[in-house]
Amino acid sequence: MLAIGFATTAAIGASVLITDAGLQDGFQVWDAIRTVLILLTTGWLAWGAALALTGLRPRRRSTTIAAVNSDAATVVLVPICNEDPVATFARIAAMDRSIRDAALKLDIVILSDTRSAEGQAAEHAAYRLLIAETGGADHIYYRNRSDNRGRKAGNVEDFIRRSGGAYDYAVTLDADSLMSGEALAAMIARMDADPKLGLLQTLPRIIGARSFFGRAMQFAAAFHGPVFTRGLERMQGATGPYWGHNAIIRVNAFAQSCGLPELSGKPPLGGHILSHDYVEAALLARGGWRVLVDSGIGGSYEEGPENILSYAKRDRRWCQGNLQHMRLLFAPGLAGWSRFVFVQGIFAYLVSVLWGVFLISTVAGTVLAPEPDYFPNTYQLFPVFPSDRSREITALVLGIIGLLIMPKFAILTKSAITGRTREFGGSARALASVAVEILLTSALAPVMLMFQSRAVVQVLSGQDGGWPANARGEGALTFAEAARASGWIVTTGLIVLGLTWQFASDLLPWLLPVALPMIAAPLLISWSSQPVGARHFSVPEETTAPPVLASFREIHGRWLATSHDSAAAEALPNEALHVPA
Amino acid sequence: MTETLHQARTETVLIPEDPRFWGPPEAPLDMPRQELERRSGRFEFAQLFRPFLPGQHI
Repeated sequence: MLAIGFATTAAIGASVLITDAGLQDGFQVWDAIRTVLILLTTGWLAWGAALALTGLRPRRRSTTIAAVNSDAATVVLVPICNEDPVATFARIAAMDRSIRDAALKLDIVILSDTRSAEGQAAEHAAYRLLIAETGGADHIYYRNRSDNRGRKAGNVEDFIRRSGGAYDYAVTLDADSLMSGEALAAMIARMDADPKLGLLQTLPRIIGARSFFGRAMQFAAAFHGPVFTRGLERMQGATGPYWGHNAIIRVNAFAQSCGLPELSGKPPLGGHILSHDYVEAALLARGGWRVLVDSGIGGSYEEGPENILSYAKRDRRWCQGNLQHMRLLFAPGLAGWSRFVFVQGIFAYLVSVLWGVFLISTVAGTVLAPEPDYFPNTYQLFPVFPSDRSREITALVLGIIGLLIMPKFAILTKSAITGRTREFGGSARALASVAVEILLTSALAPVMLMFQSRAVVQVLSGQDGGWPANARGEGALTFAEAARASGWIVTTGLIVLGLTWQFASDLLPWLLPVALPMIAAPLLISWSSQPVGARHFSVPEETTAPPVLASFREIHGRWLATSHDSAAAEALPNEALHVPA
Repeated sequence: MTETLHQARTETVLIPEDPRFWGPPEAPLDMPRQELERRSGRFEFAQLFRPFLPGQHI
């Protein structure tokens, strides 16, 4: 309630300030538009800040449950589609080793949706390598689906329909997921301890980032992520989130509750449910099952996008999936919080459009404002000047900036006090990382606003972006590649700057922080995609590599060397020669 | 199945030649389709109350 109160107060405060400033030259329709937009956008920012502040409070009690021998049958599911099989299967080999080290006996099933014969052959070769590496023919399985209905959700559903009866729990992973045996044991113990727990989500840490952008995201996820997620844990309670991977589900509960229908109508808003994970969490809660997230479970990892274009490509898919949830807002029987989660997911993308419209309406309001009436009364000796509201507007801008950066500095301060910054290279280095990450995300914000706004417009105008395979491992971009993808952003920035210069030059200083990054988009995209050393944005996983990550790197390196070594390759099945490096 | 069987697990590298036989054992489980939208697309007045009455089948 405090969080909602904080967000509401901030939103109303911002609206009052902007309304007051707008009314100085009389009421126009632009003033009403700006008031509504600033109410929504500031409320959204304040809600994010409230989430972080809620997460800063220490845990009341530990939810750690000692892992004990479990009678439950557990399977680890790895759905893949056109992934790099060497890297993916090397992760599985490392997880299998870690699972054995944790004295667990789990099955692992690779669920392939890869269609091309070449891709399947590469997977077959990698599977043979995996079995040779692990000796796991009795518990590591591979199957390729002939019908790709329902994409990843359909892939998992197909497994549950065919083989789900053999298992109590299923751990769902992505192709780039990595989980330690200890993490899996802790998750199984939590499921054993709470028979009404339908799903337990972990917070995966991003690993393996090399570029400036990737490392900044990796640092932010490691440093700020747990605090924001703890805030989410507190707010959502037993109606928690599901992010589709690095989570454990109770198979029976999932089968009872999560058979997803196809939505009526055509894509992008009809057809298969794309962001299935949010819907599955809502359906589990509708079925009376608890859905929890626990940021305290370590040993859960994933990889992230290495450059802004990969990030924007992923965002396009998520945007379509989240906007599709507009169709589900009034689905029968859902918990109120589940509907609110849908609204949040939708708003996460709509807010970019709202900021864009706010900027346009601000410029339009200034250009179309009537001349000030200095003598509003018939018999008036002295002129009446509109009062200057620059200070109020400056306060509003500073307030908005504060909502954006205050939570991050609050997390930094608390981390310095508790000694957590030691894991991030010490307080000074953590401060530098936080400051540079804020500068980078601020510079990139107008570029991301443009990509997200375009995605929203595409979806709402009926353009289906599909759900292409993740382009993992995409690295450095040249200036030309970045310019090709962002030329339209540069053009828009130049038009905005030119029009403002021509018609509302007073607003130029206010619009420069938005227009300049847009004009510099190719430079920003290309520069931030370049590899940087590990000195930048230090994270704990780099100081001491977790055993499962070290295993993955060792196995992956060896397999790659094997596939390049012609003598060794002769000993491998023919398909192994086709395994892409 | 998650018992301490580290030593008991045998290392097996033998797999069938045909990838169609690499799949997991079959143990079918029913997964009924869930209702998420009204069969008719028409507006219903009761929809307005759903957000305020969570968990109620209205």
